[in-house]
Amino acid sequence: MSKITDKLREYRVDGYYTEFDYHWTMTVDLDRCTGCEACVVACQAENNLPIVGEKRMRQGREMKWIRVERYWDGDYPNARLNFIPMLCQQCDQAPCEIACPVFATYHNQDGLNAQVYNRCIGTRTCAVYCPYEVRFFNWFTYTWDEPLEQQLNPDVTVREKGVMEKCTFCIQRINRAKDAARDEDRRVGDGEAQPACAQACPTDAIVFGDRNDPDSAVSQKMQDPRAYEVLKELNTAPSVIYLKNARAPLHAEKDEGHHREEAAEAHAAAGEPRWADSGKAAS
Amino acid sequence: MVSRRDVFKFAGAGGVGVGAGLLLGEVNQRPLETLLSTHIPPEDFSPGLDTWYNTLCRMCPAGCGISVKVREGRARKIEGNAAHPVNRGGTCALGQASLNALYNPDRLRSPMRADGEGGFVPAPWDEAFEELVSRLNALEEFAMGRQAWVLTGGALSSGEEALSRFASALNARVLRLALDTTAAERAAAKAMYGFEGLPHYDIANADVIVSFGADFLGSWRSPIAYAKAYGDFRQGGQGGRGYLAQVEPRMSLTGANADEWLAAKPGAEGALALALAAELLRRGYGDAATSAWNGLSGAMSLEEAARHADVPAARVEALAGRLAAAKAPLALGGGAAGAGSNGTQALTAVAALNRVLGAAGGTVRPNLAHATAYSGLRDIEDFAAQAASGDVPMVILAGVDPVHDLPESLGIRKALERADFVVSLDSFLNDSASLADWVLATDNFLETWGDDISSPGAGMLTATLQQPVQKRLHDTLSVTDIILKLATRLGGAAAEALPHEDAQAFTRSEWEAAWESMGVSGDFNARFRRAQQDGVWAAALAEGMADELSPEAAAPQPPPAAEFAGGEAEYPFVFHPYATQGFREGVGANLPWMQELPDPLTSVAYGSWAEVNPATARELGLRTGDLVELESPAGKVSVPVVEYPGVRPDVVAMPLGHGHRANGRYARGRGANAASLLAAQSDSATGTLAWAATRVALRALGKRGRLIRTSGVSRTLGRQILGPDGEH
Repeated sequence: MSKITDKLREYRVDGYYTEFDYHWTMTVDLDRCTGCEACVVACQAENNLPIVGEKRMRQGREMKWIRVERYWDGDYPNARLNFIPMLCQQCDQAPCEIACPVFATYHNQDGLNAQVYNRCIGTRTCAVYCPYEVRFFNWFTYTWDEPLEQQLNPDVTVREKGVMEKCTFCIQRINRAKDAARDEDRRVGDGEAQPACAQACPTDAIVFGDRNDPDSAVSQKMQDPRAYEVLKELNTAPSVIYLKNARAPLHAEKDEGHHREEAAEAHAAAGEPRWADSGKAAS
Repeated sequence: MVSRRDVFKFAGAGGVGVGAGLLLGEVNQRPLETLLSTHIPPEDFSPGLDTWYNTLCRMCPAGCGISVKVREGRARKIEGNAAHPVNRGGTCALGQASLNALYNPDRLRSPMRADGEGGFVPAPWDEAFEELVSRLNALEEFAMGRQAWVLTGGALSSGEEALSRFASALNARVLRLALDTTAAERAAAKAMYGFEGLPHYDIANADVIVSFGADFLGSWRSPIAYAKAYGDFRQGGQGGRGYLAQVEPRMSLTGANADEWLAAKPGAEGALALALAAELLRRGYGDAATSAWNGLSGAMSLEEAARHADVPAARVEALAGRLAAAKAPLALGGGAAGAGSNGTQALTAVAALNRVLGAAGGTVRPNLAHATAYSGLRDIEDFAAQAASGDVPMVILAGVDPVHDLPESLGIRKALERADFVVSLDSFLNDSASLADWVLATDNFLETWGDDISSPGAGMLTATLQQPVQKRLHDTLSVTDIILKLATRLGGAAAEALPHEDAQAFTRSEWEAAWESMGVSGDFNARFRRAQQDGVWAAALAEGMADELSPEAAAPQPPPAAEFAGGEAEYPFVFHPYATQGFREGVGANLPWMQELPDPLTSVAYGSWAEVNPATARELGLRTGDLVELESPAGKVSVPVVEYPGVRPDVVAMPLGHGHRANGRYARGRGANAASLLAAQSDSATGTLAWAATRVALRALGKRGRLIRTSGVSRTLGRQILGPDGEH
């Protein structure tokens, strides 16, 4: 595996940060997460996400930097629903970064997968390369019905048509915390920088902090035996670590083949294309 | 001294000074339009810097504390108040979206007068007050026994107190309206624990919870307080990971998170709870009170109850075993389980189970705050009957929308149409306000004063102070301001009862009186200022409070069979309406962030839907997105179906809160109103609305409906998205 990783490094442009000053990381405890979606709206409020409207929503043009995916297990009466919040995984070996022809998306000194809006020319390649499907393209310049625009967060750019956008780990909050710490000639303390989703979360499922600090809450959470990475086999080295839901398995034996057939049937019945499979909106 | 730099800094602000708290004297003035409005900027205003105010969230009755980020004079972001004992820093999606209500394009910007042709025209406040005062004076002189009616909600707040005093000075009758009246739960607590009000449930420290219909993570009572506790119940609790069993005919958000879901037949929850109680008594559980219960000999056996509820007997027996082995068990009852014709008996059976388990006084504790007594069906019918005979001279709607939120079958719409004069105090031209003669535009809760005592709260007396975080956007007043101004203009008993200048003065006087009556000493001004900073004042439960649970309780009677409106032959499905966190009974519908937020369980956005079991759908030849007509004895709606694996085959479920006829561009005409299908059934014990006691028929309309879903087929298909298989 490390060979693949080494090979990947060769393709990186000069100036790629291999060691990070802070290494911002998020853990999501799926045993605490209830799927309530408070994080989704908190993100929309903090990051000036547009209200795309019913028509665009129908076309699959939903803009949500974080969403809650839902996966069913079993069938009635032994049905069970599982939730998983999905957002940019801030991969340390991000497929999107290699893809961008104009370096609009790059890895910053804090291990964040950053997006430079005024460099982006809208090829949308990064969204195609992203296996988590968490990049969103502005097909239109969205507007707010007056006076809703008065809510907009002055710390965050409002994006226009032709620009790709995605979760930033609330970089404006990180920068503010770093700025305050710099004034006092110290490092950012644990918990001082909180993205909107983590702050809103009513069950404290989302924990955010610096992985380089071994004592931070997030470093502690990463040690949990339930910790895992989504799509680990792709070697993206995500900075979002999930803690598996500790519910006992629903069935003693899982019949995945059965589910696959069932899904195919469901697609055919609903007249939906295969790609509707991803459990999320087409971006 | 003002430095040059300060002048420049302030010039950048364009002179729109903000005022909150201390600057309220300026509230009704127009902002100065000079470049330099003043050399002394408001103390809380620096361009580029956030100012935070602690206040109260009023989007639902839970009473969470929030911190609002204000920048350049505008509220920008809602966060939870970390020091608030109820929500401890957490917020829900609806609370986050309250900014959509504040800045809503369809908010009323001034008082509106009906133009007699179905429309409304803006009118000045003076005209509104003159009209109201002359009407109220006429009422006093020529009423001849006819009474005015005040329709309101049920917050434990200063605002409601002002309204009550006003109503009694006017000799008006008050209707406290809510779909879920809490009456069954309060009656059960009275019978089994011996105290008034809603109990406090210690979810965090329970190790086994069995919940009969209580969607405590979704919309039930105080979801954020419960969600905080749930996080600890799952991980980080003292006794390891807790176990949650959810008993309900349709899987709620809580059911989706449960370790097991028992799809019990609607109306059978109480019998199941009582059978569990009897079984545990047999196994030697119980206290001094339950020893006189004669082993609950009238209760069903576990097997009978399982058959009655149509759930596997083996799983019910396993559940009894879990409860017997638990150190800190807890039974919860609510939602549809408490909203059938036998709702009170069902919740009493659940409370009896707590008694047997020894949870009463442990994971179930009393609250210091009483709960509001909402109006029963008889009072509402009385209102409708008086209106029908032309005996309602005036109706004051104080921020409620009963025409949408309550069943059409209660006759409130007709009553409002028949009443001589209707005035609505609201921020929106909602379904009820549309029928009014005058609509007085009210403040958003972020623009005015008020308070709330959390009930059920978080195990302590919690009073949250509400203060304005920004200037009024429009020419509006708060409900309390309107009442106080009316009282002053009316003179007499009303002015005597309400001599206060405005909502701020009234709130202060209420807090002063409350602290005095509780013997809280010290300088009032300093203490009040502190409450303003903290946003909350909380008093811990006094020592020995747990003793207030009555040591005695009479044996609960077995719940009678549930009765439904509509015969089974004609209406084959039990209708299961439910509230979601985002929409509740309708408050979220005019918020674009809520419309655009996919439903947590079905991923539907913009509009409503009906949930049917996939097997039922197959039988009827339906697939997700097909339009159907639901018909009950009370009404019918057409709505697209969603095949939902978490609903019983003999039940059709539908979310509340959609299907407004008015209420602004985001709400109007979207989805169908589940409440319009509900028959006027009542809880046999309390006489309040039984909103889960109606049957429906389902008919395919042979065409596709408008359904927006953000997810495709939701199976992980072996991708191990939810974690590696087989490990924990």
